[in-house]
Amino acid sequence: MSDVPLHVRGVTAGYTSRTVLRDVDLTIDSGKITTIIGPNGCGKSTLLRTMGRLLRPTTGDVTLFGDAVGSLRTRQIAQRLAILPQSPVAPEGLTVADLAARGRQPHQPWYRQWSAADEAIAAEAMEATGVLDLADRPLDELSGGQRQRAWIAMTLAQETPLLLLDEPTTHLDLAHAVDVLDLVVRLRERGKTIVLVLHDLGLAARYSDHIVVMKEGTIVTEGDPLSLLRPELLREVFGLQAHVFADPVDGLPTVVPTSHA
Amino acid sequence: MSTETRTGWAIGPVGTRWRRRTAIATLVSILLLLAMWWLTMTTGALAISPGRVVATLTGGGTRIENLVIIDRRLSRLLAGSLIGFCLGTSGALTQTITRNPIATPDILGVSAGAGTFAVLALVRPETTERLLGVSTTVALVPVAILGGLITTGVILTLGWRGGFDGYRLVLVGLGINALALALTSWLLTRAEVEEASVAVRWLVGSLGGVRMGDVVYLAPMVVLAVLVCLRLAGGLGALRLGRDIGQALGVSAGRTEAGALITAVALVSVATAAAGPIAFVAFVAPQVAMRLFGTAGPPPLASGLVGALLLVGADFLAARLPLELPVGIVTSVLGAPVLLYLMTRHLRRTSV
Repeated sequence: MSDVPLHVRGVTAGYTSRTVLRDVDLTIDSGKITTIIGPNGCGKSTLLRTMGRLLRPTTGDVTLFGDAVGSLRTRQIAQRLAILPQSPVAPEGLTVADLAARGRQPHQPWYRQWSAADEAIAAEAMEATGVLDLADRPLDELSGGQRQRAWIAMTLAQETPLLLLDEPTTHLDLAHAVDVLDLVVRLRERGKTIVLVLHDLGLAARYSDHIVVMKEGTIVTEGDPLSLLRPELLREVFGLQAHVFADPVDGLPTVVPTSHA
Repeated sequence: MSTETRTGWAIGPVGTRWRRRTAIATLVSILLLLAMWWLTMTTGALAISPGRVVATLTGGGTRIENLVIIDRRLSRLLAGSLIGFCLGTSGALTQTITRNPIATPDILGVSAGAGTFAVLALVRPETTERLLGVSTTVALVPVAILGGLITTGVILTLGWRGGFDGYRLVLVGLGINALALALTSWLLTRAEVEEASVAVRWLVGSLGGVRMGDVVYLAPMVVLAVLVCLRLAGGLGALRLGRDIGQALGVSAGRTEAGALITAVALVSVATAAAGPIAFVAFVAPQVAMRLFGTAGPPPLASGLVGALLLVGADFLAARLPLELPVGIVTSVLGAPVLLYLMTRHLRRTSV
């Protein structure tokens, strides 16, 4: 296995009648939080889904730790990469513990749906995401933030070095969004490589090591948040007037929209 | 701490989860099924004492007792249980892969399509014999299975748009169901009175005509289905979280869905061939099983058990009413309110 977790080369992809991504090249660095940002409909989620083999590219290829995704079985991919699509829906009555344990699926043969080791890993994942106390509660009874952390527990139980999260903070209020992103940082500390799609520029700027900016199906630019997120870029890509400065308290990049009034 | 609730056991490489709720619900269902068997064996037009039933089953019955207990009641119970199992499991499989409680073979027109083909064979006995070289009674099973498969093919072709969507499948299925029923009516109006009456009796769904001969092909079908369900259980569980997440968890969604669908169609087709299109069991049993077993999503094997219980129970009622009714009428009376309940609940949830 190569050290490069994920490499995208010349990828064009889309849906039946519409090409969303055009000739995209991207390399994801190991042990970092890479965040894809861009205006609505720019193809961020499509890129993430293509990287996570939920969508097959029409041309180009994706390599996962050096192996072409097309040459791997879906189970092998699931042992290297966990992807959480946007706003997943659980069946009614599913408990947090059941969801977390489901993350062991790629490691279980069909005749072994339970083992003590798998349960321990699932419990550890719930511990890490702070939902162990909620283990026996059905997902539909939880708050949005708790539910999102339960889903992340499932992806952690997969024990993959690479984790892709599509808009993990959608529909969450700021406090819960920060909870989820703090968790993402803790996961990076534990050595995971993480790719996020976020629509909130402020959060993307503060929580990412590397930012990829997309517009109309192509990557416009990429780099570290502080040097990349200039007012000119935000105006050009997002049509947004904003100041960007280093937070005086922690030095992290901060995006503040300028009022037109 | 609270994760203690997820316990299980493992012997060598094999491991399964242990849930008290599952164990209790299974036990209760089996005991109820055995009770229905016992009631059916001992009561009826000819009441036979428990002692004589046991004697007959162990080979010491008179000619009359053998006829009533073995040829009539036992074969009807065996076939009824197997047919109920087929229907319940097939419904759970289709409900699982479409993630829609309304998407069962009986509602989507698969049973109706199998019925249309079977009626075609029944009302045109000479043509059937000439084309297939066997009598209508022999041809009925394969013809019904063929009908079920063709109908499923049509529903899938019309419902396919770069993938399957549970909702579109239901809409197409409802249309196909109406079409199949209309075709059947048309065939009946053009049939000879005698043949039409045979077909109509068959169409309501009845266990009155089942024989030991039906058990011979139903039993291996059920065994096969149990094996397929065990093999697919993990994949289906992951797919309940959505097609994307199922794939993200390493399940090849297409293969699992195809396996489940083919099994479901085969099950419902053999059941229909044996007893006619019995309404609502495939639809109700998984929903009852889900609540009884406390699972998130319809459990295929438990739904089969509940299906067997439902059908044997309904047949017990149907055969002992003052005027004997075909079991299909009883299951319809029981099933229609459940359909209405689920429809209104579904609509309320999607209209939020």
